[in-house]
Amino acid sequence: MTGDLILLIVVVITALSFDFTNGFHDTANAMATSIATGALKPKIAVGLSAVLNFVGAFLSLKVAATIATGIVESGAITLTVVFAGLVGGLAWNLVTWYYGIPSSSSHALIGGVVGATLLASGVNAVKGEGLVSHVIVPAVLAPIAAILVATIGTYLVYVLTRKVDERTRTKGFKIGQIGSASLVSLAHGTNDAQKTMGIITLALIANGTITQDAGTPFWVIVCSATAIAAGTYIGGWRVIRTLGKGLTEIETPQGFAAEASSATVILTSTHFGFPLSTTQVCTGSVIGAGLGKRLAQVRWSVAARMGVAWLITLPAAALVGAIAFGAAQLIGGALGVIVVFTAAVVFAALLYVASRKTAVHAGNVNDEWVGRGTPTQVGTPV
Amino acid sequence: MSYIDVDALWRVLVASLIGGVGIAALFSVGLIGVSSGRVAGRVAGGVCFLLVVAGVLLGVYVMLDK
Repeated sequence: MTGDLILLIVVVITALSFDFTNGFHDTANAMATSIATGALKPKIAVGLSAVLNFVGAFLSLKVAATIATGIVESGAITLTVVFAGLVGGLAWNLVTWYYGIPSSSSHALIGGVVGATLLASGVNAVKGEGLVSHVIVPAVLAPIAAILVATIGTYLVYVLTRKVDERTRTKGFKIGQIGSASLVSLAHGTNDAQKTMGIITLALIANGTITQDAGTPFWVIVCSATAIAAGTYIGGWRVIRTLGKGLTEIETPQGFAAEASSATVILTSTHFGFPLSTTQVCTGSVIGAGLGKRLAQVRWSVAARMGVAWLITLPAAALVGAIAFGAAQLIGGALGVIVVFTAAVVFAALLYVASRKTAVHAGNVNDEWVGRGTPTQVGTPV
Repeated sequence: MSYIDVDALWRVLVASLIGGVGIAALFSVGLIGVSSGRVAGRVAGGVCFLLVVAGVLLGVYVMLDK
């Protein structure tokens, strides 16, 4: 087996691993509110979301074999840079999952690639304007837009249905919430699985396995869809708990308004070519759902924790990406990539073991939120 | 290079507001209709729910058209 082939295989495995973490990190986006309000049982919710993510991955197959387009010079993207970028994104996804913080997987991946590119090709290979327009500006605008839509939507929902009997209202909004959350899951599968497909396709082209105009092989589509669906089904319970219980206490009308807001903002931004992070939109919607209901409490300490995490996503992932690239280059060849990959696996395993000490799972995800801001402090079951 | 595509941003904001708030309002009016106990109310509620379903289908179309 040649060194190039080993590198290609490791990149494909790392890309699928990233896809898997993307799945369990983002389950909360669609399903946290449905789980919190009891519209769906936790296991049913993650199962439904997994199926819809899988289906969504097949909905649009206009896969672009690109990564961090408009942010780094395309000529600077080598297989090792892609690998190191994936490691940076993966590491940030795992750390934020451990602390139960919803965070954009896309921004983490971009950060990882930027860090690796900086080390590989220097500052000139990174486009500052691209970083601002593709990452920083959308990161600020996504939650603001979602908060605005969800706040007005929630307020209207409560005002309009104030005379509707409680049973009809709760049952109706539960059904509406399941529908709107399903749409968010479907959109997530369409958007995020395609990123992995694009990365693997790019790696295959770079290795000469397929030609530039060959299109994405079917096995790549199936593997990417399966990885994101499996990750979704595992359920990132820590993030689900933070989004569903930590930010605010959610009732079914709020859950419906939040998911309707998320679905609309995500789909309109896709349609008008102004891509916004699903995670940041969904988080903004939950905050808006809290603000839109009079006397509802938003725990700003939890929101602030997320804000800080979003601010450092790019530099933190870039740092790991740069370290991963530097280590791989220092050791050299396929061995360097294998060593870094092994280190990433060990890091993931250690984090998993640590997470078991304060496990959040389907059985306690809806327990009372106590403490200042971490999902692992579990109160009495509610 | 412009840092913000203001045109696309405005479109997203306006369409999101109309779509997101509109769907929430339509669904709520639908619930008022079906819980009114009157035939006309139920028909109006049904129409509201149909419009919500149309919105969902439009969303799926956007995904397919991407």
